[in-house]
Amino acid sequence: MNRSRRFAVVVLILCSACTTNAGIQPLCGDPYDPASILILEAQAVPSATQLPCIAELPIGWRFSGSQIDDDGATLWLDHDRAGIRAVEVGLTDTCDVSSAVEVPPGPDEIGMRVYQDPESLDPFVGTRTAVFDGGCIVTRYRFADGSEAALVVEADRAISTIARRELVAGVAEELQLTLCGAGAPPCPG
Amino acid sequence: MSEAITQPTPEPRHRLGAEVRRRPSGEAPPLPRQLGSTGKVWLAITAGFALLVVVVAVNETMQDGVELLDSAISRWFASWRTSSLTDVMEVLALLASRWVIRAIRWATIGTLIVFRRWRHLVVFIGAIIVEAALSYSLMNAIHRPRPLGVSIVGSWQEFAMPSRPLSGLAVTLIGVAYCLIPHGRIRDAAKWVIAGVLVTAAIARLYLGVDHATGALFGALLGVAVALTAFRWFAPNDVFPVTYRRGRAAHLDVGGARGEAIAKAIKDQLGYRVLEVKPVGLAGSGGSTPLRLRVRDELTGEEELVFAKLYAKNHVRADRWYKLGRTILYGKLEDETPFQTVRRFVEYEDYTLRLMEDLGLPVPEPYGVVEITPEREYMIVMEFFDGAVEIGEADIDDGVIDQGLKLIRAMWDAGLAHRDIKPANLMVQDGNLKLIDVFFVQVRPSPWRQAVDLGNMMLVLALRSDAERVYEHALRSFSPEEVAEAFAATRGIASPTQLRSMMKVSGRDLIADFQALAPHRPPMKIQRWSVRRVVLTLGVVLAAFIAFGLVVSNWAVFA
Repeated sequence: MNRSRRFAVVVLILCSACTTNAGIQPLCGDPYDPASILILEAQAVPSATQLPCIAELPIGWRFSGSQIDDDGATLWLDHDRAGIRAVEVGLTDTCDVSSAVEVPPGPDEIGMRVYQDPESLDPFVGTRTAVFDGGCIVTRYRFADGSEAALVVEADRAISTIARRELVAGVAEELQLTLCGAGAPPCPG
Repeated sequence: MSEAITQPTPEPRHRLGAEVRRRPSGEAPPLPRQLGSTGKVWLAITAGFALLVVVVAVNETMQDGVELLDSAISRWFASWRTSSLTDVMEVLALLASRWVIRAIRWATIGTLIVFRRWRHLVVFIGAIIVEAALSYSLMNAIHRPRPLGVSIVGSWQEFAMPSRPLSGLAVTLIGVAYCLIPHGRIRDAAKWVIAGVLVTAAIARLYLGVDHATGALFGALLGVAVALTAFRWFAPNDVFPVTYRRGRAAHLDVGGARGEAIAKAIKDQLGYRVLEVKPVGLAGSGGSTPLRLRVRDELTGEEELVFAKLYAKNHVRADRWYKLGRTILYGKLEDETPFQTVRRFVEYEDYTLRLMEDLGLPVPEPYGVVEITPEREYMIVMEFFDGAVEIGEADIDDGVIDQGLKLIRAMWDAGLAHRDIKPANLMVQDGNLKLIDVFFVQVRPSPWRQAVDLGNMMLVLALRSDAERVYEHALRSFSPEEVAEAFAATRGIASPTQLRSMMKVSGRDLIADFQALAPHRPPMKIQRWSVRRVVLTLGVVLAAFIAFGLVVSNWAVFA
C-alpha cells in the first residue's frame, strides 16, 4: 500500500470516531436482541418500567444518534425540514413537570400521566413529558424556522414505548440471565 | 585477430584492514531490525483476541457462552460487595476516570512540549486518537450492553465492549512510559506498575458491575497494543531515545546494541577493530550522527583515527521535510529533490567524496560504506583530519585565504558546487585548508549555486580577517564581475545558518563590505514560483487542515 493510500485509510479510521452512533436504533419491534440498544437504555434507568423506542420513521425523519450512560438515555431525530436534532427523547428516573399542563395520554401512553409545555408555535418548540412508574420520557421538540408545526404528529408516530417487563422476559428466555431493575428478580449487589 | 587483454588486479584505493568478512546469506545483519519480543507478544495476543471477538460476534452459541461466563464472573465480584468495600472500589475506579486520564494526558503533552520532544508528542497524540477511534468503532460494531445479572453501582457510558476507560488508560500510561521514561530498567519497572494500575482499575470496575471481564481485558489489550505499535514503529527507542541529556534528535545513540553493532560491522566489513567510538561535531551537524573512531588494524597492530557518519531513516525523513519546507518557503532552489532511501543517501556521499578526491580537492579519503541495518542504517567511514581545527577557531593567513578561494575556483572549473560552505565544514590542519561534509555537493549546478559558494567562502574567510584582504586575494582567481555576481546571489537563506549567526555575532556587515568593493550588481531573486510550489503549499495546508480537524473532532479524548 503506498503512502497516500495508507494516509487515506488512517484518516478514514480516525473519521469513524468523528460521528455519533447513528446506526444503532432502539427499534420497538426488536426488543429481544441481546445486543439491542434497548437493553442499554434499561440499564441506564433500572427503575423505569417503560422505555422509549423507534416505532417507524416517516419519510423525512432520520434517527441521528443516542447518548446513554448511568444518568439516563437520550435519542435524537433529524428531519429534512425541521432540522438537525429536531426531536430529543430523554429517559430519566425523575422529571420536573411543575410548569407543564397535564393532557390526556396518547394511544401509546396508556397508564402514564402526560404533560405538555409548549413554548412556541412558529417555529414549534415545546416539551411533552410522560411520567410512569420509575421514570419519565421527556420529548423536546425544537423545529427549525419555517417548518410546519404539524410535523410533531409525525414525530409522535415515530416514537413509541416498550414495557420493560418484555425486555426482562426476553433476556431471561434468550440468555437465562437477569436484566436487573424494575420487574426483574433481585440481583446481587 | 584481437590482442589478448590483460588487466592488472585492481588495488583498493584505501587498504582494507585484515580479515574482511562477507556476511553469508541468512546471517543476521549487525543490528537486526526488531519490533521487540514484548511488542510481538502483545500484538499477537491482541490480534488473537480481536479474532476471537469476531468469531464470537458471528456465532450466537458462543455469544451466549461468553455472556454466561462474564455474568458468572460479575456475580462473583458482586458477591463481595459491602458498603465500605464499595467506597474503596469507587475510589480505585477513578484511576480509569475521564478526569484522571485527561490530567495524565495533558501533563505528558506539557512535559513533551517543555522538552521539545516533538516526535514523541505527535506519536502520543496520534496513538490516543487512533485508540479512541478504534475503541469507539469496535464498541459500536459489537454494541454489547453492560453486565447482566448484577446491579450496576458505578458510572458508565455507552456500550461495554471493549472497555473504553481501560483502553484509554492503557494507551495513556504506555504512552507516558515510552515518551517520558528512558529505556531500560526504569521503564521495565514502570511497565509492571502500569500493569498493576490496569489490573486494579479493572477489578474495581468489575466489582462495580460496569465492565464485563472480557470487555475489560479487551480494552486493556487494545490500549497497550495501540501504544506499543505506535511507539515501536514511529518513535523506536534506538532511533528516538528518551534522554534528558542535551542534544539534537537527529543524533543516534551509539551505545548499547548499536555501539556493539558498529564495532562488529567495521570489523567485518572494513577489517578494523574499533577501540573507541566518540561523537564529535554534534553542534554543527543535524543531518547525520558524526563519530570519531579509534581503530586498530589487527594485522599490523597500527592504530589510527577515522571519521564516520551514521545515517538512518530519520535522517532521510528529516532531509525530506527540510527540502519540502525550503520548497514551500522559497520555491525551487535547484537542490530540493529529496533522497528516498538511506542507502542512496550514503551512496551519494561516498560518490561525491571519491569524485572530489579524484579531482585533487582537499577532502577526506573515503574508506567505505558499512551496513548496520539493511535499508535502515549505514555508516560512511573516511579519513579523520587529526589535529585539524574549525576555520572559525584557526589563524587565517594569506595562504589559507588563497587555498579557500582556489578551492572554489577548482570546483567551478570541475562543474561542482559544495552548497554548504560554512565554518563547520572548513578545517585547517597544519596551515592547510580541508573541506568536509560533501553530502550536498552537486554536479553541474546552476551558476547561482556556484556564485553562492564563492560568496559564502569569502564571508567565512573574512570573518577571521577582513573583507578588503579577502577581496584582494579573490581577484587573483576571479574577475570583479564574478565577485559581484557572488554577492548579488549570496543573500539571506543562501548562506548556512551557522555562517549567518557568526556574522551577526561579529557585528560586521560583511556582505555590504564586499558589495561596496565589487562592481555594482542588483541582487538576484531567491523566491521562485512554480506550479509544484503552489501544489505543495496547498497540499501541506490541506494536510494540516485534516490533522487539525482530526484533533478537533476527537477533542473529547483530551478535554
